[in-house]
Amino acid sequence: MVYGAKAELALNRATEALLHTNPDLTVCIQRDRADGLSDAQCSRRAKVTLLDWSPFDHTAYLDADTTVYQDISAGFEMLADGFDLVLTASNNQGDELLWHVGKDDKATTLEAVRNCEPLQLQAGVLFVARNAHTEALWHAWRGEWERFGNQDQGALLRALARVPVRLWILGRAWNGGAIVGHHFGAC
Amino acid sequence: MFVRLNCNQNIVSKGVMHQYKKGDWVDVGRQWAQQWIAAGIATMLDTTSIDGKPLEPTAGILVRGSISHEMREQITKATNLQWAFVGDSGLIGWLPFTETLIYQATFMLRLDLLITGFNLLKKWQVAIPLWDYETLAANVGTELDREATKAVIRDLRVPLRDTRLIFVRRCGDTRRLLELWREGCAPENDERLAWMRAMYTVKPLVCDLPASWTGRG
Repeated sequence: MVYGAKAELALNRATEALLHTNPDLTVCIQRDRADGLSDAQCSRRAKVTLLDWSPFDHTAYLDADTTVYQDISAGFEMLADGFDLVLTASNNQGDELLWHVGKDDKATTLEAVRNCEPLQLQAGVLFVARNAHTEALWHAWRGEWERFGNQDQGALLRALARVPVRLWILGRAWNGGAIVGHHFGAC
Repeated sequence: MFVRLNCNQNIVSKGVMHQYKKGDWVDVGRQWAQQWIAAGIATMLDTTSIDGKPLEPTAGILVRGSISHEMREQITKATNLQWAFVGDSGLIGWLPFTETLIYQATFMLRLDLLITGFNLLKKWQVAIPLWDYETLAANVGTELDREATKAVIRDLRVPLRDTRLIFVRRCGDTRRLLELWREGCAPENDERLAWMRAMYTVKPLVCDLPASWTGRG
């Protein structure tokens, strides 16, 4: 997804690195805009509607400010093995849980998940299989995101509380580490 | 096999006295179980009622190993959960309750999260915290254990789960999960790796929790 000048600049680096390390992958770039939304909102909207526009049955979603350093085929293998969604936990847990989403979004999330200490997930790098479970999850995610129209992580937790799916949690090497680097805030 | 005590009992295991209360589920050898049942000290589990529906639709805590008297009293004061106990091996072959917390009492249970954990089982089949955010499957166990794990879970750069605190809803998937976990827990193996293999193989709906649930976050 590319929205804004910084993202356009990051795109070349990200795509080049991805295809250098994973030459057999096909890349799909989303640029469609929705009226009245900022670049940041457009990119999050694109993420929560991913299954509407991704042409793939198994999709690796990567934020534009990521750099793939290694082979990521294991993520696809996990989907082929039967997981619905594969992603990492966020670096923000405990006191930093959902610090960036705003008070109302956070309060709504904690109430919806009926858990004052949930695991925050990082959705900047994820693998998703297209099936009835994930279609329902993404539908819920979009609905939850539209309530506040800002960050997507609280909305994802609320959506998962409504539509649980088979999740596999990766280590940080996969999002902000040796396999996939994440230059947070670069776009 | 599990029996339910009809009266308070002190049981010596490996030279250590354990106190159990009336109503507790205790995992004992078949011979002991039969003697106690014959003497009216204990009752065997009925898995079905007369009309064939499952019994004991309640939540409870299954303790692996031992728990101090003080810790048990503290938890009992806060909840009215049932209790069950497995022996020193701590390996789980059976889920005694519809919703079971499998607890290894080497840390103080977060009483403020206990009901939350059970409530998560209304949507999820399992709820379990991460061990921490740094230790990976690649960092623990023997080389052989890691190789066996990688053959199942594809990539060892994944966080471990803290198997001292597992909320489980009883169903076919979770029975299979615990069976596989038990099979994978050979003495030379790391039980956290065995859990990863079992979880990857069965793929139940798992609600992953932060490490703060066991005080490690």
